[in-house]
Amino acid sequence: MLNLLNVGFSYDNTVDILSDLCLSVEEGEVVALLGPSGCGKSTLLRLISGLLEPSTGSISYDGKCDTAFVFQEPSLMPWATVERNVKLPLKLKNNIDNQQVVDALEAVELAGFEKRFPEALSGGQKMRVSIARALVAQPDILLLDEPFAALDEILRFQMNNLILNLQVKNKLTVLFVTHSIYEAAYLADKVFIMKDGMISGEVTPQLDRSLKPDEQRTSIEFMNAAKQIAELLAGEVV
Amino acid sequence: MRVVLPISALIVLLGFWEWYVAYAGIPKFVLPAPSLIYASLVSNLSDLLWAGLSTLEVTLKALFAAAISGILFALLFSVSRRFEMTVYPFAVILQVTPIIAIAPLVIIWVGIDNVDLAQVIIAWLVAFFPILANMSAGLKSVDQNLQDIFTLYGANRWQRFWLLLWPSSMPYLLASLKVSGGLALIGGVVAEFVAGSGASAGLAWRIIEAGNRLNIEKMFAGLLILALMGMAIFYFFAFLENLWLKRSKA
Repeated sequence: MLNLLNVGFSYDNTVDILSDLCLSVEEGEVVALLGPSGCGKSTLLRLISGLLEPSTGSISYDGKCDTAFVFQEPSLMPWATVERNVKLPLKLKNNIDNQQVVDALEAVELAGFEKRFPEALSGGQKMRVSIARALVAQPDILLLDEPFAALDEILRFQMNNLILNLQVKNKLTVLFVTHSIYEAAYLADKVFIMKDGMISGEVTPQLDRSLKPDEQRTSIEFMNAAKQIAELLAGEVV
Repeated sequence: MRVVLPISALIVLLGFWEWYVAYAGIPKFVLPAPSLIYASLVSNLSDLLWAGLSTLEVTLKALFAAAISGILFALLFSVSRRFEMTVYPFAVILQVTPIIAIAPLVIIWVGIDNVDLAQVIIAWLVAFFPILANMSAGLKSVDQNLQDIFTLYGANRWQRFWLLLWPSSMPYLLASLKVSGGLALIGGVVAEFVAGSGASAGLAWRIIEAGNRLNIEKMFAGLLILALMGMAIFYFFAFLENLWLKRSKA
């Protein structure tokens, strides 16, 4: 579905952020990008979203491909209600459908919060609004750049499950950047390890999704995946 | 507390002032007692209020012009870095050159026949820079992630301005209007001082006139009205600022 071929990127043709990077993601896959700070993970997401253009190589999609971005910070408009924040992508596309806003808020379990302002929300609720804003335009690919890094462990686990549910329900392709080995092993179908602007390794966790979340996180497959990721990252400062 | 404390301090100060003037036998043409100032205020109230309205009109016209031009220039700065690099130093020069030194020139150039316009220009010169500088900072401080979201969904320039840049910079604009409101009033008063009898309708001229006649209690009464006008302008914008912040934090 998404193919990156020999993609390179540098600002002002000086230092290469990404070089000769090849990657392919199938429709409906959840892909994690893991690696040390500054290895180009966030740049890769920005290239896929179209916010940046590759200096070399190509990025191609099979079929329709609308992307949506969720950042590390919720980045909501503080002067606008939850409803207006979520409605933003539709408004920018001049395609307002209030039912889509209702659906997006229900999907992140924030029905009834429409008229609240961001200041009145908790950190986890703000992040849910940010996810609802990304979902409202019904994207094909959801890009998440360390979205739960600022959340505590319990909330982070809840948000992980929310993403998994949304991914299944909306048949989304998800690419996310994380610094957490456990988050990558739990959420992803494929984990790409990045180093110096290139893919240096790949792990496929293959968890049994029919199990309950707690059981998945204590399964042998989960432990093995986490171990493999840790081994590939050994020696790196994550 | 926010109201009680300053009012209590004022009552104590006025009481001490009243007592000390009587105790030390200070003549009223040097420092009149608050009771005399009050009596003068009451007897000259109509005259002073009309003069105050004239000064307020100059102030508000200048503030309006400063707001429009400050916002416009800040927007142009945000669009073109080259334009900013070209124009900004001149704005700084206007800001750092004492208005009292520029005012006579403005009155000569605009003409003593157009003293009202000259007063507005002088007050505008003082009020313009804080709005330009703050609005410019506001436009630059917009959340980069939100900017990216607007880019991602193909926002046009108007949508970006109206839905993102304008509300993002609103707290900066309101903060600058609080400062520039007071500065415009100062500029208006300076202009009246420089224009002398050419601007005989304003409150500053009434103060000069009272000073020339050693009617110090009327000077104080005029100053009191000026101060109240300045406070009214400041608290009006502070109210709007609070309203905006409350709306964002409701």
